[in-house]
Amino acid sequence: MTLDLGSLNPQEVVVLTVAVAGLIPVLLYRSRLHALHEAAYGFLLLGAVATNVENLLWHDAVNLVEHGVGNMGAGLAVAALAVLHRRRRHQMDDREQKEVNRDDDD
Amino acid sequence: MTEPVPGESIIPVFDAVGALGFAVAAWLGVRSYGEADVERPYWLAFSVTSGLGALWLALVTLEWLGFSGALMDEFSTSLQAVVVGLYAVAVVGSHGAVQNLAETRRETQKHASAVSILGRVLRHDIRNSLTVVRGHVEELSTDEDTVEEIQRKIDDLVETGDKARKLENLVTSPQMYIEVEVDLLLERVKDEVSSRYPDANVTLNCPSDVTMEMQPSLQTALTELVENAAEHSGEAAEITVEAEVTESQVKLHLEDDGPGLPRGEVEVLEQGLETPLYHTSGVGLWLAHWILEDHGGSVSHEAGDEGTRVTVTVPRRKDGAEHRSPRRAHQSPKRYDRYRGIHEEADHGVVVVDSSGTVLYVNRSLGDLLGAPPRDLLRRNASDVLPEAFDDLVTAIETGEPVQGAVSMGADDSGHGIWYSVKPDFVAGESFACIYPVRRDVDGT
Repeated sequence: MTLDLGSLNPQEVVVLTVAVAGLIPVLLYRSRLHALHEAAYGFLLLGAVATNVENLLWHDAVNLVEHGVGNMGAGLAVAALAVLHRRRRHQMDDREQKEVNRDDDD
Repeated sequence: MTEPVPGESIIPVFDAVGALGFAVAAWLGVRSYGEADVERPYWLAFSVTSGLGALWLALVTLEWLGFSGALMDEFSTSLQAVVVGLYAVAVVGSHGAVQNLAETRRETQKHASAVSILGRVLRHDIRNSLTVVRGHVEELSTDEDTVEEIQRKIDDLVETGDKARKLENLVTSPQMYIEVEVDLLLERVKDEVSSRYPDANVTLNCPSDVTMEMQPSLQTALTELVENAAEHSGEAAEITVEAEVTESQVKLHLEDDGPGLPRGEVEVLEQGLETPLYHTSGVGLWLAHWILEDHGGSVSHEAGDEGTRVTVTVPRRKDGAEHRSPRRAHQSPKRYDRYRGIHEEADHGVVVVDSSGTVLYVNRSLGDLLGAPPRDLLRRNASDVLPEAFDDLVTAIETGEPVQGAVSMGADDSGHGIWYSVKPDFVAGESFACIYPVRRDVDGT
């Protein structure tokens, strides 16, 4: 099986290049990132890879992976991240409020 | 006619769900941005990226639903590149930066907590235990010299605890300035030192009717420095305090006939850092140095053959303290916690009154002076709470004019005096009054 690189879309190659370059900050800050951040970027990267690979082989299957896993996964991961961060923030606010109330009681 | 590809019809559903996820994230991000503090850059990057992500997947969904076109296809692919790039650089980058900032904050809070715990242990736990030990020692031993020596050591430890508490207050409380007469301030310092070192002879040389703006803690700093001179100059120490007042600053020269501070201790104070090997011999000098630094002032030590000369320089006005150290590790969001933190256990009385004359805060010392628990004095009118002798003080609060004065207390009009100072509108709509008991005759004017 030979791959016809000429069938690649230049714009989609740019997307892949940006996604691979974006791995640098993600890997650098990896220890500080929430797993959902890594997951969200992983889905975006997968989408960028798949959108190029689908032009080379297994179009239908890879296309399904691009949209069903990459695109949808990225959207759900960032939504989960936002929900989680807000919940954590509210928990911290509640804790601080309880501490203030305890100080008042003292 | 092209055959429909199996599973193709579900693809727009995937993209629509993804778009919805990005849209929810963008909406929550915008809400978080409005509520955030240090995390604001992160939520801005997160919201913008998520918004663009929602737009990108919405366009892709529309393409799959048949609203296709070359321009739209190119635009959605460009948007995908922008979303991926922004996520990597802006979202992840700002998240890392915010995490660094949050870590620094946690460290600062940890240090503030450590200071607070240390202060509590010193002022409460150790002090209480030492008081009990002191009482038992007195009962157990018949050797008076031994008892005196042990009691002196215990008193030293109790005093160190008190100084550590003042250090804690300095770190954790906000700055509040009052206007005082320099000669009166030095008189109080002299009184305090003389009560502890009766053999020391403190001579003051200060122009009268000269005022300066200071925090109440400045008196503690000066007392520490003069006491340090009295302690290390042997019996019958000769100490001279000379004040040199200019338009912008007050310079105090403290001279004694003692050996002065060892060079090593001076270097430790100048560098602002102790190590297990190089450290000062107590808490007092740190307290003095930090208070002066907090006022935007400085202190220098010169030891010669005939004695030691310490020079203290303090800006005369609050506005002159431009280089004040931002050492406030923790500032309570509640103003009255701040008042309580700095003034609750002060020796002088403090009252805070709002513009309608209602008492907002009274510390323990003033409660004792007025013979009522502070709690009972709150939310009452200042003119009802304070005796008639303080009418000028109440008038000053009502008219918004700063005032200082002295009144006599007690039946014989001697021995007990009260000196007070009012700072109207020290914060918007609130006046602050300091009330100091003084041990000398006052003429009531």
